[in-house]
Amino acid sequence: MVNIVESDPRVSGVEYQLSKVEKIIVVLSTKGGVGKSTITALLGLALADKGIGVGLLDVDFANPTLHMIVGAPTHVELEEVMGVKPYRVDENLYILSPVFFAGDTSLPLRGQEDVDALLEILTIGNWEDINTLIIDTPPGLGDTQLTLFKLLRSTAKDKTRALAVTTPSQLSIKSLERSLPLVEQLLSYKPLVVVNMAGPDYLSRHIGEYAVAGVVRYDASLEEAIGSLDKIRKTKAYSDVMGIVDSIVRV
Amino acid sequence: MHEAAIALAVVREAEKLAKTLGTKPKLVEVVVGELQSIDLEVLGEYIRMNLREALPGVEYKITTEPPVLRCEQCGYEWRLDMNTLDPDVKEAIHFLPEALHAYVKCPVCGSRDLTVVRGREIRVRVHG
Repeated sequence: MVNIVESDPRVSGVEYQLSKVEKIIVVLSTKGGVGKSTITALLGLALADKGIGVGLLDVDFANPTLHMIVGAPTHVELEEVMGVKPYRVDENLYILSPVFFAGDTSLPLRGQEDVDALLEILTIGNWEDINTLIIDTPPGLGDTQLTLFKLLRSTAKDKTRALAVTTPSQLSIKSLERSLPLVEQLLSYKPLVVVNMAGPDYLSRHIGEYAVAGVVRYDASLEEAIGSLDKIRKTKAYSDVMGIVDSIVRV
Repeated sequence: MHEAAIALAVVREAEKLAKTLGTKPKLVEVVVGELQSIDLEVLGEYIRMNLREALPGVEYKITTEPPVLRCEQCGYEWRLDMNTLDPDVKEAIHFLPEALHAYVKCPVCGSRDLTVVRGREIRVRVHG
Protein backbone atom coordinates (compact mmCIF):
# COMPACT_ATOMS: atom_id res chain seq x y z
CA MET A 1 0.00 0.00 0.00
CA VAL A 2 1.33 3.46 -0.92
CA ASN A 3 1.07 5.83 1.99
CA ILE A 4 1.49 9.59 1.31
CA VAL A 5 1.24 12.61 3.60
CA GLU A 6 1.45 16.16 2.31
CA SER A 7 1.72 19.71 3.65
CA ASP A 8 2.95 23.26 3.09
CA PRO A 9 6.53 23.60 4.38
CA ARG A 10 6.28 27.34 4.99
CA VAL A 11 4.97 27.09 8.55
CA SER A 12 8.15 25.18 9.43
CA GLY A 13 10.08 27.92 7.65
CA VAL A 14 8.34 30.65 9.63
CA GLU A 15 9.01 28.78 12.87
CA TYR A 16 12.71 28.58 11.99
CA GLN A 17 13.07 32.26 11.03
CA LEU A 18 11.14 33.52 14.09
CA SER A 19 13.18 31.29 16.41
CA LYS A 20 16.07 33.73 15.83
CA VAL A 21 14.45 36.70 17.60
CA GLU A 22 13.83 37.10 21.32
CA LYS A 23 10.72 39.22 21.16
CA ILE A 24 7.95 39.93 18.66
CA ILE A 25 5.64 42.93 18.93
CA VAL A 26 2.58 43.02 16.68
CA VAL A 27 1.26 46.54 16.14
CA LEU A 28 -2.41 46.51 15.24
CA SER A 29 -5.59 48.52 15.03
CA THR A 30 -9.02 47.75 13.72
CA LYS A 31 -9.39 51.36 12.53
CA GLY A 32 -7.29 52.84 9.77
CA GLY A 33 -5.35 56.08 10.00
CA VAL A 34 -4.55 55.89 13.72
CA GLY A 35 -0.78 55.82 13.20
CA LYS A 36 0.18 52.15 13.39
CA SER A 37 3.11 52.56 11.04
CA THR A 38 4.23 55.71 12.82
CA ILE A 39 4.10 54.04 16.23
CA THR A 40 5.89 50.98 14.78
CA ALA A 41 8.66 53.19 13.43
CA LEU A 42 8.96 55.30 16.61
CA LEU A 43 9.00 52.24 18.84
CA GLY A 44 11.59 50.55 16.63
CA LEU A 45 13.80 53.63 16.55
CA ALA A 46 13.51 54.16 20.32
CA LEU A 47 14.52 50.55 21.00
CA ALA A 48 17.32 50.72 18.44
CA ASP A 49 18.62 53.90 20.10
CA LYS A 50 18.78 51.99 23.35
CA GLY A 51 21.21 49.62 21.67
CA ILE A 52 18.75 46.83 20.87
CA GLY A 53 18.79 45.20 17.43
CA VAL A 54 15.35 45.87 15.93
CA GLY A 55 13.74 44.47 12.80
CA LEU A 56 10.67 46.15 11.32
CA LEU A 57 8.38 44.08 9.10
CA ASP A 58 5.56 45.64 7.07
CA VAL A 59 2.82 43.13 6.23
CA ASP A 60 0.42 45.67 4.75
CA PHE A 61 0.63 44.34 1.20
CA ALA A 62 -2.04 46.70 -0.15
CA ASN A 63 -0.45 49.88 1.18
CA PRO A 64 2.99 49.57 2.75
CA THR A 65 4.31 52.91 4.10
CA LEU A 66 6.58 51.93 7.00
CA HIS A 67 9.69 52.15 4.78
CA MET A 68 8.86 55.81 3.99
CA ILE A 69 8.86 56.79 7.65
CA VAL A 70 12.28 55.30 8.35
CA GLY A 71 13.72 56.57 5.07
CA ALA A 72 14.31 53.27 3.27
CA PRO A 73 14.25 53.49 -0.53
CA THR A 74 11.80 51.44 -2.59
CA HIS A 75 14.53 49.67 -4.55
CA VAL A 76 17.18 48.03 -2.41
CA GLU A 77 19.64 45.20 -2.81
CA LEU A 78 18.93 42.58 -0.17
CA GLU A 79 21.60 40.16 0.92
CA GLU A 80 20.57 36.54 0.34
CA VAL A 81 21.53 34.46 3.35
CA MET A 82 19.10 31.71 4.41
CA GLY A 83 16.33 33.77 2.84
CA VAL A 84 16.91 37.51 2.70
CA LYS A 85 18.42 39.78 5.31
CA PRO A 86 16.40 42.93 6.03
CA TYR A 87 17.63 46.33 4.81
CA ARG A 88 19.65 48.31 7.33
CA VAL A 89 18.42 51.88 7.89
CA ASP A 90 20.42 52.72 11.01
CA GLU A 91 22.98 51.20 13.34
CA ASN A 92 20.52 48.87 15.07
CA LEU A 93 17.46 49.27 12.86
CA TYR A 94 16.49 47.01 9.95
CA ILE A 95 13.41 46.75 7.77
CA LEU A 96 11.75 44.30 5.38
CA SER A 97 8.90 45.66 3.27
CA PRO A 98 6.81 44.30 0.37
CA VAL A 99 7.88 47.36 -1.64
CA PHE A 100 11.38 45.87 -1.90
CA PHE A 101 9.81 43.18 -4.11
CA ALA A 102 6.70 44.72 -5.62
CA GLY A 103 7.89 48.32 -6.02
CA ASP A 104 5.84 51.39 -5.24
CA THR A 105 2.41 49.99 -6.07
CA SER A 106 -0.63 48.50 -4.37
CA LEU A 107 -0.97 44.75 -4.64
CA PRO A 108 -4.57 43.73 -5.34
CA LEU A 109 -4.56 40.55 -3.25
CA ARG A 110 -7.61 38.47 -2.47
CA GLY A 111 -7.87 36.57 0.82
CA GLN A 112 -5.74 33.49 0.16
CA GLU A 113 -3.12 35.49 -1.68
CA ASP A 114 -2.82 37.88 1.26
CA VAL A 115 -2.23 34.81 3.43
CA ASP A 116 0.31 33.44 0.94
CA ALA A 117 2.19 36.73 0.80
CA LEU A 118 2.33 36.85 4.60
CA LEU A 119 3.59 33.27 4.87
CA GLU A 120 6.17 33.90 2.17
CA ILE A 121 7.64 37.07 3.65
CA LEU A 122 7.83 35.41 7.08
CA THR A 123 9.51 32.36 5.51
CA ILE A 124 12.19 34.33 3.68
CA GLY A 125 12.90 37.05 6.28
CA ASN A 126 16.16 36.16 8.01
CA TRP A 127 16.20 38.00 11.37
CA GLU A 128 19.47 36.67 12.72
CA ASP A 129 21.23 39.23 14.98
CA ILE A 130 17.84 40.91 15.56
CA ASN A 131 16.57 40.99 19.14
CA THR A 132 13.09 42.44 18.68
CA LEU A 133 10.90 42.08 15.61
CA ILE A 134 8.09 44.63 15.28
CA ILE A 135 5.35 43.71 12.80
CA ASP A 136 3.23 46.50 11.33
CA THR A 137 -0.15 45.11 10.27
CA PRO A 138 -2.79 46.58 7.96
CA PRO A 139 -5.93 48.03 9.58
CA GLY A 140 -8.74 45.66 10.44
CA LEU A 141 -9.09 42.10 11.60
CA GLY A 142 -9.12 40.06 8.40
CA ASP A 143 -7.11 37.34 6.68
CA THR A 144 -3.68 38.88 7.32
CA GLN A 145 -4.22 39.47 11.04
CA LEU A 146 -6.02 36.19 11.70
CA THR A 147 -3.33 34.18 9.92
CA LEU A 148 -0.54 36.13 11.60
CA PHE A 149 -2.03 35.61 15.08
CA LYS A 150 -2.48 31.89 14.44
CA LEU A 151 1.10 31.57 13.17
CA LEU A 152 2.54 33.49 16.11
CA ARG A 153 0.51 31.51 18.63
CA SER A 154 1.73 28.23 17.14
CA THR A 155 5.36 29.17 16.48
CA ALA A 156 6.32 31.99 18.86
CA LYS A 157 3.64 32.24 21.55
CA ASP A 158 5.86 32.94 24.54
CA LYS A 159 7.69 35.84 22.96
CA THR A 160 4.81 37.56 21.17
CA ARG A 161 3.35 40.85 22.44
CA ALA A 162 0.58 42.90 20.87
CA LEU A 163 0.29 46.66 20.85
CA ALA A 164 -3.05 48.14 19.80
CA VAL A 165 -3.00 51.72 18.55
CA THR A 166 -5.92 54.12 18.78
CA THR A 167 -6.53 57.84 18.58
CA PRO A 168 -8.61 59.54 21.32
CA SER A 169 -11.58 59.51 18.92
CA GLN A 170 -14.53 57.61 20.37
CA LEU A 171 -14.94 55.86 17.01
CA SER A 172 -11.44 54.42 17.17
CA ILE A 173 -11.80 53.57 20.87
CA LYS A 174 -15.12 51.82 20.27
CA SER A 175 -13.54 49.83 17.47
CA LEU A 176 -10.74 48.67 19.80
CA GLU A 177 -13.13 47.88 22.65
CA ARG A 178 -14.97 45.54 20.33
CA SER A 179 -11.95 43.83 18.88
CA LEU A 180 -9.42 43.55 21.71
CA PRO A 181 -11.12 40.62 23.48
CA LEU A 182 -10.96 38.73 20.20
CA VAL A 183 -7.31 39.65 19.67
CA GLU A 184 -6.55 38.49 23.22
CA GLN A 185 -8.24 35.16 22.58
CA LEU A 186 -6.48 34.66 19.24
CA LEU A 187 -3.03 35.53 20.55
CA SER A 188 -3.43 34.15 24.08
CA TYR A 189 -2.02 37.48 25.22
CA LYS A 190 -3.61 40.62 26.62
CA PRO A 191 -2.77 43.44 24.20
CA LEU A 192 -1.44 46.76 25.45
CA VAL A 193 -2.87 50.01 24.14
CA VAL A 194 -1.11 53.15 22.94
CA VAL A 195 -3.22 56.26 22.47
CA ASN A 196 -1.73 58.18 19.58
CA MET A 197 -2.28 61.79 18.46
CA ALA A 198 -3.62 62.64 21.91
CA GLY A 199 -4.41 66.20 23.00
CA PRO A 200 -2.73 67.73 26.09
CA ASP A 201 -5.78 66.96 28.27
CA TYR A 202 -6.05 63.25 27.44
CA LEU A 203 -6.42 61.33 30.70
CA SER A 204 -7.97 57.88 30.35
CA ARG A 205 -5.70 55.02 31.38
CA HIS A 206 -7.95 52.22 30.19
CA ILE A 207 -9.73 51.21 27.01
CA GLY A 208 -12.35 48.84 28.32
CA GLU A 209 -10.41 46.39 30.48
CA TYR A 210 -7.15 47.02 28.63
CA ALA A 211 -4.41 49.19 30.13
CA VAL A 212 -3.13 52.20 28.25
CA ALA A 213 0.62 51.59 28.18
CA GLY A 214 1.37 55.00 26.82
CA VAL A 215 0.06 58.23 25.40
CA VAL A 216 1.73 59.83 22.40
CA ARG A 217 0.82 63.49 21.92
CA TYR A 218 -0.27 64.93 18.61
CA ASP A 219 2.84 66.31 16.98
CA ALA A 220 2.52 68.34 13.78
CA SER A 221 6.29 68.30 13.26
CA LEU A 222 6.21 64.54 12.68
CA GLU A 223 4.87 64.93 9.15
CA GLU A 224 7.94 66.88 8.11
CA ALA A 225 10.22 64.40 9.82
CA ILE A 226 9.03 61.46 7.70
CA GLY A 227 11.98 59.85 5.98
CA SER A 228 14.64 61.26 8.32
CA LEU A 229 15.55 59.39 11.50
CA ASP A 230 17.47 62.41 12.78
CA LYS A 231 14.44 64.66 12.41
CA ILE A 232 12.19 62.02 14.00
CA ARG A 233 14.50 61.91 17.01
CA LYS A 234 13.81 65.61 17.57
CA THR A 235 10.00 65.25 17.67
CA LYS A 236 7.84 65.23 20.80
CA ALA A 237 6.26 62.00 19.57
CA TYR A 238 9.66 60.29 19.65
CA SER A 239 10.26 61.57 23.22
CA ASP A 240 6.85 60.27 24.24
CA VAL A 241 7.54 56.82 22.79
CA MET A 242 11.03 56.77 24.33
CA GLY A 243 9.32 57.40 27.68
CA ILE A 244 7.03 54.38 27.37
CA VAL A 245 9.22 51.94 25.49
CA ASP A 246 10.43 50.14 28.62
CA SER A 247 6.93 49.53 29.90
CA ILE A 248 5.86 48.17 26.51
CA VAL A 249 8.80 45.83 26.09
CA ARG A 250 8.99 44.66 29.70
CA VAL A 251 5.46 43.22 29.82
CA MET B 1 20.34 31.95 -0.61
CA HIS B 2 16.55 31.90 -0.72
CA GLU B 3 16.76 28.24 -1.84
CA ALA B 4 18.61 27.36 1.37
CA ALA B 5 15.75 28.72 3.53
CA ILE B 6 13.17 26.84 1.48
CA ALA B 7 15.18 23.61 1.57
CA LEU B 8 15.48 23.88 5.35
CA ALA B 9 11.72 24.44 5.68
CA VAL B 10 11.04 21.50 3.33
CA VAL B 11 13.22 19.10 5.30
CA ARG B 12 11.88 20.25 8.70
CA GLU B 13 8.36 19.75 7.39
CA ALA B 14 9.27 16.35 5.89
CA GLU B 15 10.58 15.26 9.29
CA LYS B 16 7.26 16.20 10.91
CA LEU B 17 5.27 14.48 8.16
CA ALA B 18 7.39 11.34 8.38
CA LYS B 19 6.35 10.94 12.03
CA THR B 20 2.68 10.92 11.01
CA LEU B 21 3.18 8.48 8.15
CA GLY B 22 2.79 5.29 10.17
CA THR B 23 5.24 3.47 7.90
CA LYS B 24 8.90 3.91 7.07
CA PRO B 25 9.39 6.93 4.79
CA LYS B 26 10.89 6.12 1.40
CA LEU B 27 10.62 9.27 -0.66
CA VAL B 28 10.26 13.02 -0.09
CA GLU B 29 8.58 14.64 -3.05
CA VAL B 30 8.73 18.43 -3.36
CA VAL B 31 6.23 20.07 -5.68
CA VAL B 32 7.51 23.50 -6.71
CA GLY B 33 5.29 26.06 -8.42
CA GLU B 34 7.24 27.71 -11.22
CA LEU B 35 6.15 31.12 -9.94
CA GLN B 36 8.70 30.66 -7.19
CA SER B 37 11.44 30.93 -9.87
CA ILE B 38 13.57 28.66 -7.81
CA ASP B 39 16.92 27.32 -8.97
CA LEU B 40 15.96 23.64 -8.80
CA GLU B 41 19.54 22.40 -8.92
CA VAL B 42 20.51 24.55 -5.93
CA LEU B 43 17.32 23.64 -4.07
CA GLY B 44 17.96 19.93 -4.74
CA GLU B 45 21.50 20.17 -3.43
CA TYR B 46 20.38 21.88 -0.19
CA ILE B 47 17.57 19.33 0.28
CA ARG B 48 20.01 16.46 -0.29
CA MET B 49 22.43 17.87 2.33
CA ASN B 50 19.72 18.49 4.95
CA LEU B 51 17.84 15.27 4.26
CA ARG B 52 20.95 13.14 4.71
CA GLU B 53 21.02 14.08 8.40
CA ALA B 54 17.29 14.42 9.06
CA LEU B 55 15.98 11.31 7.29
CA PRO B 56 18.95 9.12 6.34
CA GLY B 57 18.37 6.79 3.43
CA VAL B 58 15.26 8.60 2.19
CA GLU B 59 15.32 9.65 -1.47
CA TYR B 60 13.89 12.90 -2.79
CA LYS B 61 12.48 14.14 -6.06
CA ILE B 62 11.39 17.59 -7.22
CA THR B 63 8.45 18.08 -9.55
CA THR B 64 7.36 21.41 -10.99
CA GLU B 65 3.96 22.93 -11.68
CA PRO B 66 3.52 25.62 -14.36
CA PRO B 67 1.65 28.77 -13.31
CA VAL B 68 -1.96 29.24 -14.36
CA LEU B 69 -3.60 32.62 -13.67
CA ARG B 70 -7.23 33.70 -13.77
CA CYS B 71 -8.47 37.25 -14.21
CA GLU B 72 -11.12 37.97 -11.59
CA GLN B 73 -12.56 40.80 -13.69
CA CYS B 74 -13.15 39.11 -17.06
CA GLY B 75 -12.66 35.44 -16.15
CA TYR B 76 -9.86 34.76 -18.66
CA GLU B 77 -7.56 31.94 -17.58
CA TRP B 78 -4.08 31.42 -19.00
CA ARG B 79 -0.74 29.77 -18.46
CA LEU B 80 1.96 32.30 -17.67
CA ASP B 81 5.20 31.77 -19.55
CA MET B 82 7.87 32.71 -17.00
CA ASN B 83 10.37 33.27 -19.83
CA THR B 84 8.38 36.31 -20.99
CA LEU B 85 9.05 38.13 -17.71
CA ASP B 86 11.81 40.68 -17.28
CA PRO B 87 14.71 39.29 -15.15
CA ASP B 88 14.10 41.94 -12.44
CA VAL B 89 10.43 40.93 -12.26
CA LYS B 90 11.40 37.26 -12.05
CA GLU B 91 13.77 38.15 -9.22
CA ALA B 92 11.02 40.01 -7.32
CA ILE B 93 8.54 37.16 -7.83
CA HIS B 94 11.22 34.70 -6.75
CA PHE B 95 11.17 36.27 -3.28
CA LEU B 96 7.50 37.19 -3.07
CA PRO B 97 5.31 35.45 -5.71
CA GLU B 98 2.43 37.85 -4.92
CA ALA B 99 4.61 40.64 -6.32
CA LEU B 100 3.41 39.40 -9.72
CA HIS B 101 0.29 41.51 -9.13
CA ALA B 102 2.50 44.56 -9.55
CA TYR B 103 3.86 43.45 -12.91
CA VAL B 104 1.46 41.02 -14.65
CA LYS B 105 -1.82 42.08 -16.24
CA CYS B 106 -4.65 40.13 -17.80
CA PRO B 107 -3.82 39.84 -21.52
CA VAL B 108 -7.49 40.35 -22.40
CA CYS B 109 -8.74 43.22 -20.20
CA GLY B 110 -5.52 44.55 -18.60
CA SER B 111 -6.66 44.04 -15.02
CA ARG B 112 -4.20 43.24 -12.21
CA ASP B 113 -7.02 41.62 -10.19
CA LEU B 114 -5.69 38.11 -10.76
CA THR B 115 -5.77 34.83 -8.91
CA VAL B 116 -3.07 32.22 -9.15
CA VAL B 117 -4.97 29.02 -9.90
CA ARG B 118 -1.90 26.75 -9.90
CA GLY B 119 1.85 26.91 -9.84
CA ARG B 120 2.46 29.22 -6.90
CA GLU B 121 3.17 27.10 -3.92
CA ILE B 122 5.61 24.58 -2.58
CA ARG B 123 4.25 21.34 -1.17
CA VAL B 124 6.03 18.50 0.53
CA ARG B 125 4.81 14.93 0.14
CA VAL B 126 6.33 12.10 2.08
CA HIS B 127 5.76 8.66 0.54
CA GLY B 128 5.89 5.54 2.69
